[in-house]
Amino acid sequence: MKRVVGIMILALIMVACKKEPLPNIPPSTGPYYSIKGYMDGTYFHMNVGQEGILISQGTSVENGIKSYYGQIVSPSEDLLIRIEFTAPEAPLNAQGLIALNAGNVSYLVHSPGCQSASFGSNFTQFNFLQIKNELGIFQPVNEVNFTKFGIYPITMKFTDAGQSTFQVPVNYGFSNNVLNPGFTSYEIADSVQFVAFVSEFNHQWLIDGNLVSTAASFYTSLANGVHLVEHKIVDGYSNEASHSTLVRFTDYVLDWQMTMNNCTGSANPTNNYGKVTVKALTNGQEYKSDGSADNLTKFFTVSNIEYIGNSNQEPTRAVFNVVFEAELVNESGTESLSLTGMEGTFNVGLQ
Amino acid sequence: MNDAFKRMSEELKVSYNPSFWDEAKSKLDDATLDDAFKAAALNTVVSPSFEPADSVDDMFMDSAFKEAAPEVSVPYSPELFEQFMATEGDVVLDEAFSSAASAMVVDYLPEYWSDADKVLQNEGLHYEYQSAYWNEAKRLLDKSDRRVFFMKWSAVAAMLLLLSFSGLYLLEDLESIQGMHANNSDQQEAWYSEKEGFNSQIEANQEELLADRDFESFTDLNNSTGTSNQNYNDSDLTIQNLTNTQSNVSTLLVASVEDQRVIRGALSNQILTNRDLSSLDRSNTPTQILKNPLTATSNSIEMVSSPLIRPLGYERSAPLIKIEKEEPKTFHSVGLLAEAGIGNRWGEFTFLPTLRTSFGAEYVIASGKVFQNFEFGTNFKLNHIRQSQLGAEERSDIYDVHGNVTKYWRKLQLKDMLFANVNFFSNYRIAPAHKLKFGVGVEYLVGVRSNMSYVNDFTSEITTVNNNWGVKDGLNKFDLRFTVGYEYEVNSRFAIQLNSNFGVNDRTDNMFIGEAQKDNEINVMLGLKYNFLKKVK
Repeated sequence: MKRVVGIMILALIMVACKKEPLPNIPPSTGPYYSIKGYMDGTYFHMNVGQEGILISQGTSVENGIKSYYGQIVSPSEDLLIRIEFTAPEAPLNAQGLIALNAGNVSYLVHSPGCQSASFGSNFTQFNFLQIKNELGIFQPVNEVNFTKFGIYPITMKFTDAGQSTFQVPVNYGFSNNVLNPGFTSYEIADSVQFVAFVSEFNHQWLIDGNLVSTAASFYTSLANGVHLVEHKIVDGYSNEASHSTLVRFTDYVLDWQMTMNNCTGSANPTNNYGKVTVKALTNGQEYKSDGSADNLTKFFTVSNIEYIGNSNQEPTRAVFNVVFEAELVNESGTESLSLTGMEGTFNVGLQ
Repeated sequence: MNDAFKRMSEELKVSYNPSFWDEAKSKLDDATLDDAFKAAALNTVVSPSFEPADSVDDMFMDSAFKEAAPEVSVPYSPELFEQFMATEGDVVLDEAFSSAASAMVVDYLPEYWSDADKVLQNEGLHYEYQSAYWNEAKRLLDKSDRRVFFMKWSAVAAMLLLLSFSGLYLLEDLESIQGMHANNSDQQEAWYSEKEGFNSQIEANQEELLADRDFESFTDLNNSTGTSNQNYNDSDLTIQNLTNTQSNVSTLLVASVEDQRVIRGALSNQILTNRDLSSLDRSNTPTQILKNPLTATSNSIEMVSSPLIRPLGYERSAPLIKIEKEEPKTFHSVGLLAEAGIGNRWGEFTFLPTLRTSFGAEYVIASGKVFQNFEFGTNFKLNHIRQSQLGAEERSDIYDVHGNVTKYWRKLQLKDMLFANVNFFSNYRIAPAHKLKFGVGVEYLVGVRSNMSYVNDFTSEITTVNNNWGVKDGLNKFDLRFTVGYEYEVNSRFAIQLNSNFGVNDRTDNMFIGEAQKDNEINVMLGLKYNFLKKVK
């Protein structure tokens, strides 16, 4: 009996003691996003999650071009580093969204350019063309000057065709080579035939905003006057491209189809789909890489691209390692900022 | 003279001649008279009176008597010898006991107590414990003193009782003999008192005997009785104390040539009791005490008949009487040990010590045959180590793809550690109550009391757990520990120990603690040992 009581007491003491094991904590992963390098020769290192350093990402549209961006902000250092990729011409493929490709990525460096309108065999129409300038004033010009690449909506009107205005997107520096939505029109008696440059894919034809055909080519008759024709092309992965232009019917006959061409003496702009822009904001001053032609020879290498999706398995961001150098200049081009030896882990938003 | 010679010559009808006188005178010198006296003495029969019951010294003749003894022959009187034999045992006993007691300085050893206890009981000197004695003692205590006494010792008793709880059942079979030993201390004191009484009495008897051994009185005695029993020389009693240095067992040799008796042997320890000697066969008759150290051994006393024992036609064979020496005893003791002390602080180095306590049981065995000055033992202890600044803190930052960071952390403070400790040690007795201890043992971590706080999930909620016994992280579980110490036996029950311990291994997990320092356990402990069981085999 004594033994039983003793054992029970000991057991009670053992059980009564609080026994909680040491909890495991996950091992540190290290900063997920970081970037370090030299800014004008001064080393800096920003780790997201430390000392208030944050990262943000998303998409933006600038000058009519969609881009994916990500940026690290260090409030304590009053420093922001932003990396932005213009969307590829056809970002979707069988694997899904391919926002950027591994390897060296070219910098987007803006260059001024000029495009002029031509009206086929009608060589007098440009005399009646007026184009709205930045101030909203229609001016009798047939050339449009660009300082940055993009797709710009140009508002036009023809003084010999009433007061109607037409907004035509003008593509400067983003030519479509994979999905070419260009088309041509042919006068056939009192009708017109619209024929796409490429016959495959899906087509949508909108005239004055009204869908009129989904074929690669079609015939139609239009009333006299100027009409806006938009041709959309969509491939099997939902990549799409569009081309808009004006056509004029005079006496129920196709008079002309407007085309935008480089001005005489102006170089053909480079295709700027999928190019990169680096921006730094420090001391209240913004510096960008797209204003310095030096970046045409700088490298920007992307590796280890990983796509992060949301709950619907839709990619929301692309994470990648990057090594680059860049020369940044302010908006006026009077001040520059040199980034050298830059490397880190960055991401850009896809939505 | 001339007239006398003249008258003699007339009576003898011889004529006086002065030349006769001159001749006689020349012959009356001292040497001549002495020779004449000696010649007369040779023809004289001397029979001294002998009354052995009156004095022990009567048995031992002085030197003059010894010289005269070979010269005389007297008829043997059996009565006198029988009287002597009747008292011989007591005489030999008293002398031997007195000599042994006075010649030896002995130390009390617990293993001898049982023997002494038996002897005292046979002698009627053993007093059983009676509760009345204690009640009487209690009444004599002052109330205030009694209160302090009981409070203090009740605390000690409660602590010892609590600590001995685990060993209660193991020792259950030993409880039956605890009663016998419960009053060992009192009995020991009583025994010493008895012994001192004996010694005093023996010394007094010796002085008296020496006084009685006076030659003149002995001569008068001879003359008065005119009879002779046996020639006894001076009591040439030699007590040789052969001390066994290892076991404190002394050997006593009692021998007397003239008594033609050989007593050889040894007396075990400090006591040769009446009981022991009374076991001798008193029917043995005249023996001759021979001093024969060559035949003496340290293990026995032998009373042998001598070929010279042929006194005056009384022929009795003297059988061998052998008293076996008690073999050295092996004793076992089991006790409870409580220690407290200080030790080094683990982790960050500092000279500030931390607390140590220890409780356990100790078993000691001392062999009486080999390594008599050594004790060997083992103990099992539960060592408590208090640490004040020992702990670890760990932080973890988890960065996710969304640019967020989640911070996890845990902080652990190790407060109290319990180690189960098994030691094997040897005590070397440097003095009767002083021992040096050398030991080695192993320690195993059995429990740690700690406080901890942590955040280990994304909710960032802080959890705090105090007085937790579920964490042993940060400590190495095994250690090899060496002990060097000193023990002082206060009495048969209590001993005080001062031990220093040194651990070989690093007690802390440096990877966990985050310290490169090697934390060997070093402590100094002052302990009290309570022997609740002693057994002699």
